[in-house]
Amino acid sequence: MNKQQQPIAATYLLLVLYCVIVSLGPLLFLFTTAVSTADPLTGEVIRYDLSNFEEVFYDSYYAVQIGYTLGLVAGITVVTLGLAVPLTLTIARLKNRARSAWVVMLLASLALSEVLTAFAWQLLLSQSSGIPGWLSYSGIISGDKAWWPSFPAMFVVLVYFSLPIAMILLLPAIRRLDPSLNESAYTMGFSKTSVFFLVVLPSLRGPIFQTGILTFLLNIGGFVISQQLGKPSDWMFAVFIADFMRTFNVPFAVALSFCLLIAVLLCLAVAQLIFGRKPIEAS
Amino acid sequence: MAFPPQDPSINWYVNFFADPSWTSSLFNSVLIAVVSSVFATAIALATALLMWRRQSKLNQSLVGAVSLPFLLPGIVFAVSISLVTAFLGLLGSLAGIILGHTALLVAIPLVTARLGLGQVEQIHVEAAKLMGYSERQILTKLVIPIIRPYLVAGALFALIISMNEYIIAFMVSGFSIETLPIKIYNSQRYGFEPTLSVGTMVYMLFSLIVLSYIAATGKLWSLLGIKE
Repeated sequence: MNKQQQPIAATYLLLVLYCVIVSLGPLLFLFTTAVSTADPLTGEVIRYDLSNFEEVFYDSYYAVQIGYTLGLVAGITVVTLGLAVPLTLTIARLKNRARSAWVVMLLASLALSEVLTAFAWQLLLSQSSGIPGWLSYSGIISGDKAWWPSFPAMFVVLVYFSLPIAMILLLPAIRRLDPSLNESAYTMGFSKTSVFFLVVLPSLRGPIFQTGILTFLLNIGGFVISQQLGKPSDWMFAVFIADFMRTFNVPFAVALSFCLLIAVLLCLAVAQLIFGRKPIEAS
Repeated sequence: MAFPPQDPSINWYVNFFADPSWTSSLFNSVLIAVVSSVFATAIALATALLMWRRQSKLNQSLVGAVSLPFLLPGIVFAVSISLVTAFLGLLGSLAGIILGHTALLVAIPLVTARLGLGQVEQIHVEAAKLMGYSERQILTKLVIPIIRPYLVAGALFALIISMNEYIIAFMVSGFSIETLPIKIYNSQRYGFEPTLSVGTMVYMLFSLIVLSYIAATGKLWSLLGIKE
């Protein structure tokens, strides 16, 4: 090995070591802990078996909860995409300065953590200082109830949380759209709605799919918003995992995480099969 | 709290900066964010340079492996990295949270570094080689100056996300360390006080200032993959 190759070999070695610790290690620990049973008093592993998974699938409770969470997150993804595409199209057509301001605002709200987003929305939906308070004060509504915790509040905030990332991911693809395609369609007499559904959406099929996957992944692992703004019956699966971690039932929490991971991978595989195929080209 | 607001003042801001539990949480968040964004950027730079030098399967696998934590569901990665930190004896330490955040964030500067490397013209690299520059000189005198704004932007994005990250910090902190998001979450759950809103405002302003800086440097569009 010559002198120039030595730093490269050292970099490879360090990166491989790093990957073992942060990428391979976590998955390995996830699997081994999920199949371990610890002594409740000492916390030491006493045996390796599938009892945690047997407990998870003892009845249909956790399977139903995973199904509910996957369905909820799929719904959030669809609504987010439904809002993100037209909104991003509007922002993409703005002048440079206005577009920059919008992008900075989107990135700023994208960077905000679930905790801060949930807290801000709790204030906004509270009776004492939020929208219900304003409406009640101005006589538009009567009553003194906060709008959270509730399923609609949780759903709206989860969509709000996902919207900036979806828009930021869609913006480059929308800016790359060839305007001559739309112009040709208008020349041929197509209406704005027809152009949107027949030209714009098919051209954005790939980016919309990728954005949908990332939006899905972003939401499936979160728990703060659903716990803070939803009722216990609305909570997502990650809340159970976090609660079992809080109460030191680590192997069971890990088994639940493992099940969630497998369910997510299966969903992504199905989504790839259904939506990820390239459209058949017209001959 | 009441609507309409009564007796407006900056008392809650004074409270925030006078209360050691809030300031120490803020300090922990800043420290973790700065260190982990620097580490994440260094790892991302090394990975991106290897990939730029040669697009082999090994290098592609490295890119995938360092990006994996970002692609896993948040709770799954948080749980699994807490197991790793427990094994390494880092549970409940700043170092553990820094490890978790570094792992999560590498993907961000990696994307920006690769965008920056895309701007390096191969013809310039060849010219430098013809002029007798060594690989190290090409790296330090040609490549790094070109990609520096992209690295800075990637590091700043990572910094903001680390400052705001809750789930990993919560899982790895082991109830012994409070970052600002953990402090805000705990305060929300165990009794509301308007000082919380000050913490939120501090974060919003910090994010807006950093992102406005990135926009002002003129690299925002190319960082988002948009050609103007």
